[in-house]
This record gives sequence, structure tokens and C-alpha cells, in this order.
Amino acid sequence: MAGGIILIFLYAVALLAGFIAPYGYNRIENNSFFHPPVWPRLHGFHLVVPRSEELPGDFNYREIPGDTRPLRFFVHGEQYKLLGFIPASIHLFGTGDDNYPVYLIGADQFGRDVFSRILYGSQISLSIGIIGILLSFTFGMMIGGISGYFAGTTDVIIMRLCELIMSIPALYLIISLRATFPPGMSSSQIYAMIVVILSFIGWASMARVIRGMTLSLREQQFVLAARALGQTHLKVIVRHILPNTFSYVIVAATLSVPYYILGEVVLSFLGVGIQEPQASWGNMLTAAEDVQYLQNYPWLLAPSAAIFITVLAFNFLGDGLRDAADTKS
Amino acid sequence: MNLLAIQNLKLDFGSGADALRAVDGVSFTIGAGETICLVGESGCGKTVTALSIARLVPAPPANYVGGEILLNGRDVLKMSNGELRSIRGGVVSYVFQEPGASLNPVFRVGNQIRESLKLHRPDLGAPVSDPAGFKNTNAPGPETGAPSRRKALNAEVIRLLKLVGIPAPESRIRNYPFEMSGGMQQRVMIAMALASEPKLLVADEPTTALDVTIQAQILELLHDLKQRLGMAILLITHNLGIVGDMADRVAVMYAGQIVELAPAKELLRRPLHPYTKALMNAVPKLAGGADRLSAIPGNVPRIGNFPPGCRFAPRCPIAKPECSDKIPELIEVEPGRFVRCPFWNAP
Repeated sequence: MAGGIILIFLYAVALLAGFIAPYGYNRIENNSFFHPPVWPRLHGFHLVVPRSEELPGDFNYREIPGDTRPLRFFVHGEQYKLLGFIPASIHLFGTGDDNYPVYLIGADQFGRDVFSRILYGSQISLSIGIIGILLSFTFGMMIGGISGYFAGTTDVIIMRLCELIMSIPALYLIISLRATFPPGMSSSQIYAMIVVILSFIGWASMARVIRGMTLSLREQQFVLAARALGQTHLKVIVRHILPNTFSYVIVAATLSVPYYILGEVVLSFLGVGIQEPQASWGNMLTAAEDVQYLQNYPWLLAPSAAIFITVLAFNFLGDGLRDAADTKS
Repeated sequence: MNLLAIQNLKLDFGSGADALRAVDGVSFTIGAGETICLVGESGCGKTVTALSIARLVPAPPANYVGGEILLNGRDVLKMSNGELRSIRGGVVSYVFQEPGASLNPVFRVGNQIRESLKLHRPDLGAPVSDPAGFKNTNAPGPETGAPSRRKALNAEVIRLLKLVGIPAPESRIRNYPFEMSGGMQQRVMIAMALASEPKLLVADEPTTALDVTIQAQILELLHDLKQRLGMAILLITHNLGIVGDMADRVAVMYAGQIVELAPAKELLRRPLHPYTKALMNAVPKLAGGADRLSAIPGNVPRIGNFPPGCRFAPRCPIAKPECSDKIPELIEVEPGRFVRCPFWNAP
């Protein structure tokens, strides 16, 4: 269940990204391109942040000894919207002085704080998984339930459609679907588009499994009993058959969230997903394509660690749920 | 007018050359408030006949090829889906064999009964009519709106659970089916069936899965409810022992046909069809001493593999060569007594 705790933490952080992040995702600082990580250190009883000066040449920085500012908590900083709608300007930590920046994991090629961008990116990357799963599993369960319940010709047609979608390699399908959307969309449109594309690919495999479970559940006597009470077909499917598949669905959903997160990463990495300056874990990694960058500024890879932790946490949670749902052992 | 009149019902599984006839020319009637028992070995078409009353046999593969099922004078086989839904639960309610399997395992029993109420009792929450003649002690006030409707539904669920003899129904409504014993589950099923105040309760082997003491309780409950609510009961069983207690009339089925139809007392006292006689001989008698039970040799013929002529002939102790020539007619030998055997009078 460690996975669950980590995930709760990650989602809480994503919700409060504006508060925890010391800077906005779009705050460009001209004299700190590729600034290395700056860690507050203990000085007496205060945490202090050192200042660095830029050396001439290849984005080299040197710390100025003795020139520090204390790190303060709940400082006033940039305006942001807490939970998306409460205007606020208090940040969890910071120096309150732009000359003494706190870059916990460095800055990127535009001098933007990587730590802040990871937090803002997590809002997109983490929510895409959940919304995508909700969408595709709702759709997959309905289609699978209808297919299994009515069987016969309906079943054959729906299942062949599922197989058609499943037989196309996912990545090609993603990219060709992306091509059907017009360029120049706003970031929220792109976000919706990614969710739709990923769900469109994901529902088929879900529908197949649900269809199989429905085929066996529809022969159960409580389905006959529900029909004998005069329930409509749709209500029998939604109220009586599908709830009996939930123990499977919850496990499967947890284990598939990583695919949606990775799907967004892939799309954004390829430059067809979330667009700059909006932050997402995928498009932040685009900067890490360059081998030279990687050599000199390895902190640009930090989003991959975030992805790694999230995916691992979801898998642990899924495994744990599967063991809990498995009544046989 | 009869509540239910089944006329020459014929039902096939499959169609064309592969059609298997599961029910072949079944006719019987049920009057309002009457209890009919449908008796026979496994696989002789009892359940399919009973499910046909609300057209619940899935079609396809089933195929109603002939006859009519008049429920309140209207032919069920010609009804639209909407009409069917309104009679299912509304006029005919079902109680099935396995109470554990008939309740949805993932919902609390209170919710399942409430669902039945929502479907068939839209009047709840409005001023309550009391057609069944017993007093609703928790009658809700005349005010309408969601909270009072919920309250009315809850009160009705509790009243139904009390009616079927479940102790402490206020706490039981929050139970899941698996938290109840088989007898309790069957009582909940009966409560669900009664929720819609049906005219006809079809009980398909309601006690087969229960142990003997619970069986007696459930049958007594059904009997009692019938008296109080005045509904008709179609009881399917292969236990002749309960026929005498419950039934007004009995229909004995064999291989998709009714072979004997008679008032219960007379049938038990003097069975006429050789199959009925054989069934009766297979029931252990307390007074009979240590005689061996006589089993009926052989099995019920498989559907689609019926012998020519009388279907019971191969297992019949008094079969004659001409029995295999043609299927005997169901003849009325005495007023109200029908037998499908020309040699019913043979010693």
C-alpha cells in the first residue's frame, strides 16, 4: 500500500502546485539559463540560500561566498490560482528576492525553475491518467456490457470493431489520430484531445474483458430475477451486471493509469502533445533529447524520475489491490 | 375470467430443422387466488413453462411456435416490450430456486427491494392506498418531495420484511445477501416479489435449496401470504410431499406435456396416470415400513429424442404395443380431471 500513500502525496502536491512551487511555470529568468540546483543550507539557526554569479562562457555559475539570504516560508510571490480558482500569492517557501533564486533542481534552457515546472506538469500528467481511465473504462464497460449481454450479432459486430482497433499498433494510431486534429489549438483543447485519443485506444481491450465477464454473469439467476421484476435491459446491464465486474475493473484501471501517463509523455515528447510554455512531464523531457544538454545539465532529466515514481506507485497499488480483491488466496 | 389461461403453448429451442421442442401443447388455467402445483422430474419443461408466463425465456434461442398465454385476458406472446415490463413484477412475480443466486451479491438487500418498489409502486410517497387490506403502520404524510419519498420507500421495505417474517428488519436492510442464511435470503426474495403486489406469484422450486425445517417455514409463509393478500400461486416442485399442503390443483408434466391435471386431494388419493402413480410410489411413506422405494426405471427422454407415441411408454409398467403408435390425447375422465393415457382405468 506504499504505492497508494505515494500517490495520495503526489496528487495532493499536484493540487497545491501553485502554493508549493516557488515560481510560476512560465517565469523566464534571463540570467539563469541552465542554472544548477541551489540547495538551501543551514547557517546558524536559519536556512540560507546562496547567490551565484554567472561566469563568462558556457553557462557556468560560481557561488559567491558569504552572500546569502535566509530562506523564508509563506512568502509573497507571484500571483497564482489555488486549486484553479482561488487567487493567491503566498508560496510555501522562497527568499522573496529575485536575485537569490531557489532552484531545487536547477533551471532549464530558458531559466525556468525545473522544480516548479515538474509540479505544474504533474497537474497535467497525473490528471490525464485519471480522466483518460474514467472515460475509456466507462465507454469500454458500457460497450462490453452491451456486447456480452445481447450476444449474437451485436456481439460479433462490436468484437470485430474492438479487434480492429486493437490490431493497429497504438503509437501509429495515436500519431495518425493526432494528425486529424487541426493545428493551432489552445492548450486546454490539446489536453482534451490527448485524453480523447488515449481513451479511444484504451476502451477496446477493456470492452473485451467486460464482455467475457458479462457472458458469464448474464446467466446468473439474479439477472433473471431482475428481468422478472420488469427491469429494462439497460438497467439490468448498468445496475446488476457491471457492478459485479468492479473488483476486476478497479484493479485493471489502476494498472492502466501508467499507460495513459506514458501516452501523454510520448505525445508531448514528440511535440504533438502539450505545447510550450505549458509544462508537462513529456514536453519537459524534450529538452533532454540533446546529448550535450544531458552531459552538462543532467537535472533536465528530473521529470523522468517523477514519471518513474508515479508509474511504479500505480503498479504497486494495482498489485496490492489485486491481492486484496483476490478472495481465493 | 381466469387470471391466467395457457392454451396449447408450444415452445422450441432453436429453429428450423434443429428445433427442439421443450414445451409441447401445454394448457392450464389459474383462477384468482388459486394455487396450482406443477410437478415433474427435472428437465420436463416445468421451469420453461413458468418463465413463459412473463415471456422470460430468452428468445432466441427460444421460439414460441404456437398457443397463447392469456394473462388477465391479454396475450403475453403478442405484447410489446414495454407492456411486458409492466406485467413482469407488476402482475406476475417470480421466486427462484437458489435464493443466494437470485440476489445481486453487490447490493444491500434493502436497496434491492427498494428497486422493485421504485419500478412498480410510483404511488409511494403520495397518499397510500391500501389495496391488500392490511394497515401500513408507517404511513407517510401527504407531503411530496424527495425526502418523504425516500422515507416512504424505506418504511415500505421494512414493512415488507416484517411481512415475510424477518426479525429486526431495520438493521437487516443494511445487510448484504451473503450475510444472511438461505432461509432469510429466500424471505428477502419473497419480499421483493411481493413489493409490487402481484396477482400471481410464480415460485420455482422455492424450497429445494433449503433444509427441511426452513422449507416448512417458507411454505407456511407462502400459504399465509396467499390468504392475506389473495394472490394466486404457481408452485413448481418435484416434491410431491408439499403438494397436498399447498395446492388446490396439480398439473403433472412429463417430457414437455401435461400428463395429468387434477384437484390436489383427488390426485394424491387416486393418481390415474401411470407416471403419477410411479411418482407417488417413489415417495417414502412413514406408514409403509421397510419396503424398498420403487424408482422409475430409466430417465426422462432428452428433448428432441422423444419416443414415438406416448412419451412415457418406454418406462411405463402397463405399456402396450399400441402405446407407441400415437401420442394419446389429454382426456377429461371426470369433471376437472384430465389424464393423458387411454388405459387410466386399467387395474
